[in-house]
Amino acid sequence: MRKRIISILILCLLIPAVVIAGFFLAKGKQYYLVSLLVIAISILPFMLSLERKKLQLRELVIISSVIAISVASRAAFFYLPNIKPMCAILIIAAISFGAEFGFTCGALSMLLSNFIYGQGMWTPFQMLAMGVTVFVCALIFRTFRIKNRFILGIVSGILCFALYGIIVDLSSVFMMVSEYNLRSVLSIYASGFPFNIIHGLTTGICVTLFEPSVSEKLERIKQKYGLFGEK
Amino acid sequence: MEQIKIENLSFSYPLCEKKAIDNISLKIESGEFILLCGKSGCGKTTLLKQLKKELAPHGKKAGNIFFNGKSIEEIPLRESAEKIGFVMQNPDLQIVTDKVWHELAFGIENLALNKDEIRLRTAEMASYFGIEEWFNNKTIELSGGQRQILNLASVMVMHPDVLVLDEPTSQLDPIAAENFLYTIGKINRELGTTIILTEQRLEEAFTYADRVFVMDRGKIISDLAPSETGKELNDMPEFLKIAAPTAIRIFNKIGGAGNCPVTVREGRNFLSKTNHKNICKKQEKIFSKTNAVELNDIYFRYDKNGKDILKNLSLKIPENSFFTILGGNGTGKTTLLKIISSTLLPYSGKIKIFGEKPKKSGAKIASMPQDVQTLFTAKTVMLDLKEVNKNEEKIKETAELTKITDLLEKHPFDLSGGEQQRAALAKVLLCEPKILLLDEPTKGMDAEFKADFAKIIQSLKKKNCTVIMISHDLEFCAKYSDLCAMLFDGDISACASSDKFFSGNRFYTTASCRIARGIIDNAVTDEDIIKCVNE
Amino acid sequence: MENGFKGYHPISNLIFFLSIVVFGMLFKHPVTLVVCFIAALCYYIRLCRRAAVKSFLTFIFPMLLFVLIINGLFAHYGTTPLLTLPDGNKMTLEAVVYGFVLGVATVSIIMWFFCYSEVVTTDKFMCVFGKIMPAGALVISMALRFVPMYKNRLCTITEAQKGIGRDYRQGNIIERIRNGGKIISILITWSLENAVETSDSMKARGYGLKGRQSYSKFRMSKRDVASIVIVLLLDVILTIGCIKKSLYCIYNPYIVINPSADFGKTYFVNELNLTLNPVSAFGIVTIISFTLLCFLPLIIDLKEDIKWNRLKLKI
Repeated sequence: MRKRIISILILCLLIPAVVIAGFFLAKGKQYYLVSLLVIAISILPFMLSLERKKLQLRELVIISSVIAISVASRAAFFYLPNIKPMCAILIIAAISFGAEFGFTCGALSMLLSNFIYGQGMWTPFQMLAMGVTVFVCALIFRTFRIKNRFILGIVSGILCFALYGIIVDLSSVFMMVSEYNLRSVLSIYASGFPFNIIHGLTTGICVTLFEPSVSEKLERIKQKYGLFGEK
Repeated sequence: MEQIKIENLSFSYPLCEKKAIDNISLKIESGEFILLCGKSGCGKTTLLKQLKKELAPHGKKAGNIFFNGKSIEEIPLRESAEKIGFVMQNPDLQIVTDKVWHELAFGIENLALNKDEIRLRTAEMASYFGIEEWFNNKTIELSGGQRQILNLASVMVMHPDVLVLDEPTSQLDPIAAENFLYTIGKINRELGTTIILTEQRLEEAFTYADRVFVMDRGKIISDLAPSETGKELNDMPEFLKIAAPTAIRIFNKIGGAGNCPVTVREGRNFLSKTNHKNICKKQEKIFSKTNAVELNDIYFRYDKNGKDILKNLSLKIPENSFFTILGGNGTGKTTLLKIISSTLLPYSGKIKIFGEKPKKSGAKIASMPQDVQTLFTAKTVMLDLKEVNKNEEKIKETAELTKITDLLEKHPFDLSGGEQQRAALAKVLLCEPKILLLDEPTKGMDAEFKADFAKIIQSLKKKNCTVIMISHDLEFCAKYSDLCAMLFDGDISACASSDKFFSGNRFYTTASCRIARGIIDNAVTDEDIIKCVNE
Repeated sequence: MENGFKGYHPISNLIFFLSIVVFGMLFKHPVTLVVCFIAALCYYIRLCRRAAVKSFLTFIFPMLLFVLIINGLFAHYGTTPLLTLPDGNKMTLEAVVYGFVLGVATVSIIMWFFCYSEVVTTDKFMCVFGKIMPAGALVISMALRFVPMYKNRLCTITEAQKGIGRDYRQGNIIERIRNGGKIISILITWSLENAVETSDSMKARGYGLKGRQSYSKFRMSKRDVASIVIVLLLDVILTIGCIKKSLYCIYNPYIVINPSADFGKTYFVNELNLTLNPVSAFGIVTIISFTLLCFLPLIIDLKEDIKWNRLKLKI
């Protein structure tokens, strides 16, 4: 439990921390470099938990599998190229397997997907964004025990649009804007808006549609093999 | 001193009354090649896993296992990992990393050897197993046979004293399987590694083994050299009477005396000394005049610029027949099946189903894939079956036919491999197809279930269903199939009734045919030979 | 093939790209910007040939314009108005120039990342990452192995379901998404239920024993060490340059290039509020070092090309 509180604290302070650090620590206007450091520091604890935690070998393999499924899932929709169910699958998996699991898988999924589609200056931001989005969703759903699939869908759709969108486009803001006034920042977000709204919308729809059947299967596996605290 | 000694070992799974292993005692000397056979579910895998304490399942255990004189419980994990190698059934699932070189190094990375030692050992193993050419490849690019060789190599790289193999060839095609068994034999001969192998395909495995353990219901009931085992075949359990190598079966059915033959060569020697007829006479099979499937000049390729997978292929499959398509890997068998089911469309040529265009004919075509697990969607078998057919009567009937009536309330993934195959078959049959397509259904089946499976197909034929099968299993085709076609280089190179097909081939044919060649003409199955000798 | 800088040790590759990204962002001097941009473009084209030219025209150049336009239109600092925008705000020279500077810097970094993706293959990344975080690296390595396998499985599942009369590509969009979900849920069961066998295979080969090594087939050779030493040396010089502000430039509220100096001649352009100071001695050193750093991979590649050509001539 203590571990959980610590990790929640880290994350809740994270987004403001990235922004604040960007604005105040960077006197030389090197917002991007500073934010990279902050991201590295915030992802690190989760990565280290992989190393330190006495995870069962099975759990390690399951983590890899979930990451791979979320990355490969795009191929199930090759006839609908706009749909990237990655975020939805990760959220559903995190509801069953835990929020920290969700963060780790989210961050690593983005890293892995960029191995395939090309790394960029946005990779760290995407890792953080996906991790945080999945983490926050799972945290809300698990603490309030939300089961209604429509609520799940709507909340994760909104969070995916807002959180993921804000954090990822932050990389563009830090790189491309010279004066941080509302209009120039908004113009960057406006350029990312179509992508983010589609992403949020499809994630919401996917969560709503997939949740019952996928959750059922994950729960079974969790119980059958005694994974992630299920003994 | 014996390398492995098992004393009064018993084991039962939790919540299970029956003992999976029942009071087994045995000794294995260093450098022996042991073949452990038994029908699926007899406790083979459980016994093998007891030898490897990392994999030993939870449950109640009594008795002792000694490895080099030390109790297996007291052996440190490092030594167990290093000295006892374990290769499992499915080549795909054992591979951990994405690159071949990394997979080879995985085991020795765990042993914490230094970098130069790792480099040396991977290089050594890569050249011993002929892996150099694909050393830098991704593991996903390998064929099934190559993957299993890689699994073997990545165990051998740890320099084990004992190699335990749990049905390693069940997912491979015959050529890859033979190659794999040959490699194991080579390891045994050249390195003196002790081999403990379980196998369904006994034809080849018998020729390599020093001793054969026969296991039945958790007990080891026989522990003899292969030819001795053959001699005692009449006292063995039913499955072995079906599964034993052809030469042994013939020897026993005829009631031969002297040494029991094991290999094809010994079988020929034996057969030539018996009184026999020189020609095996057979009835001509008569087929329906209507064709269920008719393909005319089919051309197919996957890419516009790719090469033709099928070229100028024509084929007629008569109604209500059991038709088999044979051929090596990558000759386009699966592609052909997909063309028949209209999953893929040819860029030239005509397909007729019952004399009409596929869409017009309205005849239901259902196909059973190789990986039957892809068919299960629901949480019980019953719900899964209901998904395709709501009719309770039909479900009951089909369940009885496929013998899954007791399994209906279970989760499909809690079933064993054979049971899953039966459940999948039930699901496919509930589509009520007029044409049933099967993609290597006998892969991984044990001999007894194969016979059951053949019965199911026979009963389908009576119900006006045409069955088209892809297979590598020559013995099965020769015994049960009506017509066989050989696919080579994208075209049908031979198509005839099974008897004619197999008696015409010299290499690509059954062991019985190879034994009887020149001695009894036209004999294709062991039954043919036995008939000719006894008369 | 793996030749030139691409054939060097992963650590050498990574240190280079890390340095180039950090210093490419720190320096905003016009000369370094141009150098960085040209070097990135040249190396990118050398690595990717046609694809690079295509992506430059369709993606990178528009991006440069985008940054320029945002900053030109929405930033209003500076003292030199160029023209008045329809909304009453003024477009300033400083904002446009700095927009251009930012654009060039951004685009250069993006191109360096493209080069990075080409040069640092997953094998190389895992080699370095595996040394820092063995378990994390193993998770990624397994996932890398699973992704193509699962993609194949998705096709297998789609076809198998089609074989029993379930065509998942029909219906309206919601229906289709739902069907995709069914396929994924089959994949999940199929894959996760079997994951146990994979973990058994790992256990059987001793995973979990103490002191697991992380092996990579890359070997540090003399030239790798030499390249690392050179990059680190250049890094030191550049860091000193940063601290001493030898390439000091500001674009707000007016443009000053180079720190004010006691010697040499300073140019003022009064109409544009532009100050051009002469480059200091250490400034020249910094610029040369930076140029060397940027062109290091190209120099290595070229050296190898020349050697090959000579060998060919000798034969």
